[in-house]
Amino acid sequence: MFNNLLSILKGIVNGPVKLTEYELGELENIFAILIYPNIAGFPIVPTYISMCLLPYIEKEIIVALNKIVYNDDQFVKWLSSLDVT
Amino acid sequence: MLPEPKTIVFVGKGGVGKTTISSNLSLSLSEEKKPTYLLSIDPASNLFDFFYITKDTSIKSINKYLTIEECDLESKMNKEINKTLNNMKAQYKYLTVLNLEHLFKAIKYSPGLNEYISLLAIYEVYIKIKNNNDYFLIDTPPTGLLLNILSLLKTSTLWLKQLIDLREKIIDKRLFLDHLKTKESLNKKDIPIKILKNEVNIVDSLNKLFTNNLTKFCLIINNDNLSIKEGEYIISKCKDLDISIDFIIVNKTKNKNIGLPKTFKNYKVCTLPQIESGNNIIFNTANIKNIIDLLYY
Repeated sequence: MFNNLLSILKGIVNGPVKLTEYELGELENIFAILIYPNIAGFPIVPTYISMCLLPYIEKEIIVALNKIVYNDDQFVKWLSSLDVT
Repeated sequence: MLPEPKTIVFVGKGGVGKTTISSNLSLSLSEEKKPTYLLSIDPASNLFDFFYITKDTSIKSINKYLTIEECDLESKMNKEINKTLNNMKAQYKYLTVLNLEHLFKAIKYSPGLNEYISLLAIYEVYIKIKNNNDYFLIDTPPTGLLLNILSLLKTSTLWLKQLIDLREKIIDKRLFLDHLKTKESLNKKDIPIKILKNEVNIVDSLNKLFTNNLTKFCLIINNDNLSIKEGEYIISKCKDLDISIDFIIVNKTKNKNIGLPKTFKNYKVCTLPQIESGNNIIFNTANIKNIIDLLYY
């Protein structure tokens, strides 16, 4: 009983963290795609902005590339963000 | 002396006489002891040739009151690219094989980079000279490149604001997660937002410069159909970019009766005479004074 309650409480605390992490990942993905839109076929941002930022947004590029790999499995992505395994 | 210089930007079709008029005007102003800075951002500029000066440096003092500069776009471009290259090497040290030089050689031909370097050149010169010059004259490249430069300024303003908004959201989320996980705010300095804000600063300064009351856009045309048509095109494109043409100079006129289209009716117009070939210094001081009077008084 006590263990069940504890898991519910953990869920309440960790739920928003997971969702915020998911949201952050999406924002980083959008940021990378806006800076390097050619990887997704969008119109290009002024080249100098991409060039200035290139050395510093490695993380965002990795997030964007990972998102592209798992892009066709949105259902699994949603389930994993809700901690359903 | 004014806290900000009076800025005159000369625009027009290639060969109408932008360099000739800006050089003459700058000389005339310097003769009146007005500290003047003349900058050419035309990649194929012949400003130094006009003053019969050899191109051993990009900046020259013509007299006590006049300095001219031909912007060396090539070396500025290499400087910017090398800056990024060095930052790349510093950030991605773990990559043992990082042969970016070849890749970056191609970047300088990317669309938009030349225009950015031109904007950067205007900004850097403006910051350098604004406190000790009465006049800042800008000799621009012909229509196509100039309109690209002005468009880039407007596009950059929109892009940078959107990117900063998005980046701020990312930073907020990161700080929130750091706080939840470690119970303290790590408050890491975010370099991309610093870069974006620095670019916004440059773009805002240039927007202010181009929309300032002391800045005048002067369209130069010849009394022929081609340059008049192109002049009309420049006026309409500048309108789209929120830049207004303040003054029109009809250069190389043979007589004072010129037939200009209705589009030019609402503008102050001044005519300058056809000159004999081989003579660079063409206008008398009265003609040039007339331009300044029409622009500012």
